[in-house]
Amino acid sequence: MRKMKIHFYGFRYYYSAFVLLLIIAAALSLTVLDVYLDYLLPSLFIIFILSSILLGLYEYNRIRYLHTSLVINRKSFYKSSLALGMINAILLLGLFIGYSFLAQRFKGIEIAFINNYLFYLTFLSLNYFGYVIGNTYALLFIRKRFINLLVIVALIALFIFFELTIPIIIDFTDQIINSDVPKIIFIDAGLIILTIVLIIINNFIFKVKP
Amino acid sequence: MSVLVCDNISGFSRKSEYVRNFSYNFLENKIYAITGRNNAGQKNLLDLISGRIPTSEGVVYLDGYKLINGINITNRICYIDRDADFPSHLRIVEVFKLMATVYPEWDTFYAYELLTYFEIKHRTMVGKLSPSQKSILIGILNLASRADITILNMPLEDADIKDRYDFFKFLYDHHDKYPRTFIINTSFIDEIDYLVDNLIILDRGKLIVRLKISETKQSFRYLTGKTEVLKSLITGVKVIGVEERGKMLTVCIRQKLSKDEIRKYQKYLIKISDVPIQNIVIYLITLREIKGSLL
Repeated sequence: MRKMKIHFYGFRYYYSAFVLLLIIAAALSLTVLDVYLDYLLPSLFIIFILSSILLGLYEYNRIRYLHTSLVINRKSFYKSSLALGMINAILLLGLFIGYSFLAQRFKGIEIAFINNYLFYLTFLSLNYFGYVIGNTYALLFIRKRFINLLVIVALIALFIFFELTIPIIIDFTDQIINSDVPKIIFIDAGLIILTIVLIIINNFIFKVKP
Repeated sequence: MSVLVCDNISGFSRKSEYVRNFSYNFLENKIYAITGRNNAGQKNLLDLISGRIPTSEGVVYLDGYKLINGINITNRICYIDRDADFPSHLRIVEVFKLMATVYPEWDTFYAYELLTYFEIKHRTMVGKLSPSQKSILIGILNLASRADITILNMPLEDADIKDRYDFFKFLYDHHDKYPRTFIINTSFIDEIDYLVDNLIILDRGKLIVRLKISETKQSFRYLTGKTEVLKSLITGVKVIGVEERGKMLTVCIRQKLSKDEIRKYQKYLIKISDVPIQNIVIYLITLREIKGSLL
């Protein structure tokens, strides 16, 4: 835990702000909101994945420099980063389950995934993958304007040319939560393998990058 | 024990070679100064010898072990660069807490003492420090880490001359109390000549001269006198720098003067004086540039 202190000091405000926003949004959604109730859990699922990506980005774009400014050995940062990714995924899973129970109690939303182990696997692998993707992007591309522009253009293209709309995304996310996507176990396995590959690549780049 | 051995190390990127075939032994409890022109590769050299970036060729050993992927170096070398990047919301006191977790010999009391001396409040956020205060803070962090090898890159360059003088005085006293190795990259070599043992001069990534500060005073001398007289006296003497102002000529010679020679110069009213180290550096680099342009 001593080794994770740099992460702790670097992330305090990031995490505090995130949890605070989440509590406000959760409180509002469970009290004021009466429409789009089916959207609640998929939206939260998507928000969590996006937050994992942002966390990964913030970590390698900000905390990394704090670490390398103070400590020469990079291994401890790398190990802490891996541990933090897992802690983050588990924490988010806990929050998701907690919110689901509250949503069931206050809004009568049905939660079918609770006894489905595939859901847990999917949740953890997707969040960890998002986090590692964030790490890789921060390591390789964040300071390259052209790539950043390209990503924005690609996202716009995805929405416009491939007619990807929010209801479609929500619907697909709902299927993921309920493990209704065909062969989801293979998708999970693929995600885990991809995550491991990215972790190895990150380690190599991180070791040699000034 | 902490001996840092650089065995023919080089560092290059796709665009340039920033350090070339550098071999040197940094011995225990000594203070080294590295200097040179701005683009001479001092910062890159510090990155290489601290293990911050891997060498392209050659190996750096710390007490006989390879520095990179060797023994745990985290708490043995402290190198907080002047460009250190801290999140702006971090408070100084929190940086101290982090330092305490990383460096086992970290001296919190001493760090606070220095902060108080330089009139910096410990609750100040790092992002709100002025450049001068930030450079002082980085100096304090390096000093209070009490790591076996402490590397300083342009320490207190943004601070004023008084703060710099005081800081180096603190460094001298602290080194006296807790002997350890310091490697300092600086342009203000004359300000720290009393505390440095060895001087390394780099030019275009290459070590061009290594000097023992204690010997420079005997090895390099200024001779000042009337141009015609002095010119006739210095034939065959190794001159590294010449400055002519009006009818007076000043030459910097690289030679230990014997008593007879001193008497000879005094007879012709030639003034003999010490050469500031900064000027020696300038002459040696200029000499090398002239040689390079002739080749």
